[in-house]
Amino acid sequence: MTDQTPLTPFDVLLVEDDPGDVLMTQEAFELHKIRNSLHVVPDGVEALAFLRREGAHANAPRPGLILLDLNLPKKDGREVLAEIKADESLRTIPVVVLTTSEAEEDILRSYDLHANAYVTKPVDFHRFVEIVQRIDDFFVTVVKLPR
Amino acid sequence: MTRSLSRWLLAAGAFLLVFAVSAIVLGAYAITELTDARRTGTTYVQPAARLAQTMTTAFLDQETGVRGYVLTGRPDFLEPYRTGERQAMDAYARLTELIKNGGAVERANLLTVDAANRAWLSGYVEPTLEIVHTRGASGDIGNSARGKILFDEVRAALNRQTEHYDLLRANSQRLVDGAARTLITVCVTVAVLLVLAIVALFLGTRRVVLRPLADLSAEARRVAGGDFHHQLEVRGPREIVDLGRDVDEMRGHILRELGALQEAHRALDEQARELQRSNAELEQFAYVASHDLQEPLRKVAGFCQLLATRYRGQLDDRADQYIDFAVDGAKRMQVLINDLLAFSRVGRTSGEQRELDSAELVAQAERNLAAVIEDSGAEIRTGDLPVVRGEASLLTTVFQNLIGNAVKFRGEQPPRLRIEAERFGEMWEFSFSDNGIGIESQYAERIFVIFQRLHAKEAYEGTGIGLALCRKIVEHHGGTIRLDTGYRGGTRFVFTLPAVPEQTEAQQTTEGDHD
Repeated sequence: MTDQTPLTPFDVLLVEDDPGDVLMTQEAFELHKIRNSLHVVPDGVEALAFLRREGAHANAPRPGLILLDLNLPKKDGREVLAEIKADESLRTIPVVVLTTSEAEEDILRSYDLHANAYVTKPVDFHRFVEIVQRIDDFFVTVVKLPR
Repeated sequence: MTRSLSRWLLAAGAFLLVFAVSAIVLGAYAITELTDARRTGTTYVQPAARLAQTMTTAFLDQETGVRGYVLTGRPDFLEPYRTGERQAMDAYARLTELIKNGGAVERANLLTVDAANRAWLSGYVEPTLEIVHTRGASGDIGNSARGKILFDEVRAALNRQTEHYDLLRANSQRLVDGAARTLITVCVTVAVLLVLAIVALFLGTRRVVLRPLADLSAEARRVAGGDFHHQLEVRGPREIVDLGRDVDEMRGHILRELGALQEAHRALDEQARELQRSNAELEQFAYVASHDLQEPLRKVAGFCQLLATRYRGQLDDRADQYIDFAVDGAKRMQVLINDLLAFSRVGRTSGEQRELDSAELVAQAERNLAAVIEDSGAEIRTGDLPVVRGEASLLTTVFQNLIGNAVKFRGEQPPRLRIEAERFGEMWEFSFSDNGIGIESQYAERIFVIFQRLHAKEAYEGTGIGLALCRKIVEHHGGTIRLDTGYRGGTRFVFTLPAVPEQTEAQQTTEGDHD
């Protein structure tokens, strides 16, 4: 990892309606001293507004990574994923589907919609923290992404 | 008009019979008449008339001969007389014979001729010939007037006879003509009546049989065309009406059966829809369970662990232990939910059934269990394993659970497992024999019941679903699974799967070669 690029602050968008999960993800970020700033929106409509800088999100930054739950109010994660991947300007942002569902159809469907990764949230908190850290490592430091 | 066809046919037949008999009788009568008339003509009237004519000529010859002899006195002039006499005698004899059984008039006429002849012979010819013979020709011997009178008698008698035969001949001809006319009339009448009968039969058949049949046929076609509710109505002779009624009854029967069938079909459709709906609901429930039931579990476990991490050092050992139990309970609950889900899904989600190499499935199961197999130092040996038909993921689960059990319930020794397959008729029998702690035969059934465990959770972890799931999967594939209670020195599970038919198996192998 000698040619590791110096870390520029990185914006991560978490689309999650469950405050417990939001808190847990925030804790995981904090525990691992992840320097990236975590933005949270509670539903699919808000998520798209954030990405398109609409309404209250007029000054929102363009996230370098999206963590997307599948079951969301108003507009669920599958629709959000489909819209992001259909949008010229947004489709390059990597999307990691982060959900409790282990259902085969959800996994297939997500990859069909061009999710970059599908991750099942583990019950064990320590495992969860590890996974969040790994996702962060992978997409922020390992992978070269278009800016 | 519902008179029976058979009565109608009987009437027509009787009429034809009467007609034919009368035609034959009339014809025979006419022919007999004709034959009789002709026979009478040819065998009686005509020969008799001819003989009468011969007689007349012969008498005239006699008279001429006598007269010549009287005038000349030359005997050669008497020759026609002699000839005529012979001829007359001959004709007389033959005519007498012919009319012996004939009419009285003919016989009377002949007798008159004979009498007149005798009178002429005795009264004139014989004395005159005597005189001429003795005295020679004299020209006039003074009795020629008497001779003329006597011969006129003969001539008159002959004429009467000839006239009578002429009359008879005319009568005979009339009879023949009449008989011929009768015969012709009979023939023409029979022919005309025959033609009329044929026409009547044709028209009658058309009206009585063909038209009602055509009507029935049209009605039946209408029903056959799909109008099952059309009631058949046929007019005509009773037989055809009966036939129509029978066909209509058949239609009614079929209609009722059809109705019942449609009803059953509807019910079945309804049931299928109901089943589909409940299946979909169950599927939805399973999904909800897998997702929504696990969320709160994750919260419980996650925040307990977060508590332990955040407040490390501020809590005592007992608090840490509580947290451990809470986390462990939540984790177990999650495993339980997932196992239950897998169990409920067997046979419900329609996975693709394919021909599978069971050796490959065993290898996959071993890969999934690589960590525990390595940790326990287990040794797994497999015999020749066949191609079977089934869902790969389900059958892998069976192999994995059985291998996992063999490793989990091991004894003092490192686990040794032998996997073999043997063909019994239509089935392959797989056996898993290990050297583990074994299962008492009294639990042979209980181990396959869901959530039934033989050991404390502390000794061997697990949810108690593994073998129940195996049983469900095997039975879903048409096989059976059991514990071999006769096996000593460990545990032996035996299960069966239907064999793939030889042909397909060979095909499968060939296809495999191309891969």
